[in-house]
Amino acid sequence: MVYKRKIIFRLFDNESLNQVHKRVFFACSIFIIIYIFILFKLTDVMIISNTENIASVAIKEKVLIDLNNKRGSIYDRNGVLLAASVRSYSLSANSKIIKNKINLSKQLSDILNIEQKKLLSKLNQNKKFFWIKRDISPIEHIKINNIGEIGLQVHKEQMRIYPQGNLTSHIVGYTDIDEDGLAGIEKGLNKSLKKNNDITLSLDLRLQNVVREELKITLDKFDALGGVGIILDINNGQILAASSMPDFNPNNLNLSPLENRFNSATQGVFEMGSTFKPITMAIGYDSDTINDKSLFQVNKPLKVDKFVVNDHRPMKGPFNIREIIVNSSNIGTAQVAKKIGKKIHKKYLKEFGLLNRYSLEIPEIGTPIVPNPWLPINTMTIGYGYGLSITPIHLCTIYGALVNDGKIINPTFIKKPSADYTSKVITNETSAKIRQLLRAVILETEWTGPRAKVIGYEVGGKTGTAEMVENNSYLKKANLSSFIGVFPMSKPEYAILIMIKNPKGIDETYNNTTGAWVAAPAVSNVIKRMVHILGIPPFEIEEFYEAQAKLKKNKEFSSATF
Amino acid sequence: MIRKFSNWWKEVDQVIYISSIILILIGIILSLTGTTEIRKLDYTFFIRRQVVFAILSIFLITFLSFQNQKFIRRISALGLIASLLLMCLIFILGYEINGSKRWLPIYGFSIQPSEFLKPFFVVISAWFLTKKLEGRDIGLKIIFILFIFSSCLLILQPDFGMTMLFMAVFFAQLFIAGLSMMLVFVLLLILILVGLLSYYYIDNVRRRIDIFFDPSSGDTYQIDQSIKAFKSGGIFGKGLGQGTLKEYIPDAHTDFIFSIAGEELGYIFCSLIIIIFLLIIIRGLLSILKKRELYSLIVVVGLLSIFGLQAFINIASSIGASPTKGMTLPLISYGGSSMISSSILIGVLLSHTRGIKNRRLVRLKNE
Repeated sequence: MVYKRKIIFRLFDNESLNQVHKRVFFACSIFIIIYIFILFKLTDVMIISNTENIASVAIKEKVLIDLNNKRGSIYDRNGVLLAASVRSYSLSANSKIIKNKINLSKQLSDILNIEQKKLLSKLNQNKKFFWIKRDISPIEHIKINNIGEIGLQVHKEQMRIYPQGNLTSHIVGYTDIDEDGLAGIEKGLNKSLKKNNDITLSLDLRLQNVVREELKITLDKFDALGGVGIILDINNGQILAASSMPDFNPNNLNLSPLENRFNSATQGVFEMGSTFKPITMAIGYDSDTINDKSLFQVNKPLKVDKFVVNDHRPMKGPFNIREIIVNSSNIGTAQVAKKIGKKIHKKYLKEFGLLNRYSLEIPEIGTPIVPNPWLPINTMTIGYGYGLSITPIHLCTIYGALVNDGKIINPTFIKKPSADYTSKVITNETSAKIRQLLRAVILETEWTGPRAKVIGYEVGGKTGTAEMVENNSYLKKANLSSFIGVFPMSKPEYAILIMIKNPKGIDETYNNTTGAWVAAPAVSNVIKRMVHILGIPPFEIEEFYEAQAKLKKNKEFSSATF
Repeated sequence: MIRKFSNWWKEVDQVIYISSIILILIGIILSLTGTTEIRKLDYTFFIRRQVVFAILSIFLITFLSFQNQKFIRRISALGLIASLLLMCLIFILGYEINGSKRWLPIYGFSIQPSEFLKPFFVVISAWFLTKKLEGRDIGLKIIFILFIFSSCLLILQPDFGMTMLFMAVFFAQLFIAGLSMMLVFVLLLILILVGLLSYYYIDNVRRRIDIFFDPSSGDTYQIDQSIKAFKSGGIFGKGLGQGTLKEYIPDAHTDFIFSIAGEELGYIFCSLIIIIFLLIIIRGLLSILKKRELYSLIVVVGLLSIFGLQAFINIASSIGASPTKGMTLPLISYGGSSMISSSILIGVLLSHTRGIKNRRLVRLKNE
């Protein structure tokens, strides 16, 4: 007992109970100090280190009034107008101060070609403000000025117009009524546009049109939910076309639902599925985890804890790397990823830029969804494209880097003289291997190859079919079908991605909705049309067949050895 | 009935009562604008919910401020047991958001039981601490067991921010109860130690703290956007609904609601919010001193520590003065659990400060 009391005595200082006031005051002063600290910090952030911004807010109001300050225009890479500001004049009246309404209505009727009766009934409304006619011509403007009626007022209005309408909607974006950018380039480069600078985009309107048309045809054919189409110039990172469907008309935003304004091409994040497999192989080759002689058993589904990795059809192994890619085996790729290991896998993905946002000139940029915590099973599933969600722009950029000697180039929507390389992530040898793999997909597959190839242009690529995610669970019947093509494979120039959300099966494809059936033909059509537009000559056909024969021989040789 | 209300009105601390209602109204206004992006799904969904919760909150505050201490204690005991049980249940039924399991789905609503733990625990711990000071040792043991059990549940979720807040609040209560200065320092050391340990063993915590001290080490996207929003707001703000932050930060209406206020309503309005928070805290602390009753004092200090620290952490992290923490702004942030919890807090606070003015009047008369 005595012992216990001792402890109590030490625990609570009974003397101090009398000083409870002091302690409460102490608590008070701590609160006052920390709150004054945040008040100070707030003042610092919003006022002290923000004088420039506060000043510019005041200037902004002036700018709004000064309509002579015209907003810059936006052009495509060939100088086609995509967005411009036009000026218009509108006539309003204040009937409370108009004395001779009949006379005025006569005069106005002559000038504006509107029936006198109509005008008179308008003028008799007895309102302080109403429009008589919007958008009057300059001649009408002068004539109205000459009437000298103080009850009439001519308003100068400025309007943003988008001659290409839906075609470039997501990229160019739109502005509010005060011509402040709200989306797309209009928002991302708002400051520059406001200073009357014109902007030339990397987009090629002709290619943009091709991509959008092919996308639309595919969407209609498969009754799909939406889609994405991108053409990327691999050598300088410039985006030549980027279309996200459904889209909207920036000239009249109310025509389409709000969801249409979502830019799936840059902001949407998706689990890409099999298009990830070449990325895994690149990591494998580059980290010396695998080589051409590596073999993986793919006969049985792979069990990891409670999780089972399956293939879309049973296969007979063992497979080498090329066979895993050509047959798109999840089981094989998962084993490669497992062999690479979490640490190296994650390190490479980070270097590839797949775990971070890209900087683009438009504000609609998606942030990849990275597994947290990152378990060993995540490494395996990410190997074949599940568990890590990235944007379509990410996918195009990394494909560009993989086939282009590992040079990562930040994608851009602006036409620039030079590209900004950020880093070299894989060796030239690995890159050559990936080119061979992607080419092999076209030359050796039963379904994909014939649908994607364009004779004479050495197309390479990979299909992807992922189950779509909704409310945290996979929709078994809704696919995200994609194909990413690169050409020409011996010296890659362009990457083309078509992605279709939730295509429905049709008789023509025997109810198949995979990437090979849905997206590969669209990419092939895009390539066929773009080579005409850009004037890219085909390779010598004979050489092409020779090369094909050679590859076939190689294949026989390799299958004979194993 | 009317008499009852007019008596209550004379007794209740009107400054705190009205300030709280002002904060709730600010919350409604901000949720109206802050949720536009998500509102796409259903135009009025969030605002309807926020209004329903606001009405419920004001009712709760009023109802609780009517009650006597005994009733509050009983309610708190029940509430504490219920929230602890629900927190255990989370490990079976809950689901993960951003790497932590904090939410429990009940009839289409998600509730966050740890929000409710705080005000109830403070009342019960104050009761047992007073019992202890009156000489019944058992109180101390019970409350320490409860404290350790709750902290473990919180850290297992894992909710590092809430655990630290919880510990700090309990520490403040011990401090007011007259903890000897020696132990004050020891406990402070332990708090720091717990902080360091979780830095080394909890990935999420380490990442956030690393980013705070070295912004280049990771994704400071949210903070960058938030500060940009404050800067663009200037002195008077862009005007309600004109802000663009909510388009960039998906949960702007909870953790970053203060940034929305900064962007749309400006510096003066933000300072006002901070001053209202400080007013409630100082007013509460000073008025309870007059009551000369240790139990009430410990309760009120606990409640105001939760209230004040939580608001401080939320505001500080939105202006980049502390690492980002998923902590709501009491009474203002969107979210049922948080609003109900903070109105319970204010209600209990009002019930404990009720009648102080009157007592002084009576005393003056007697003199």
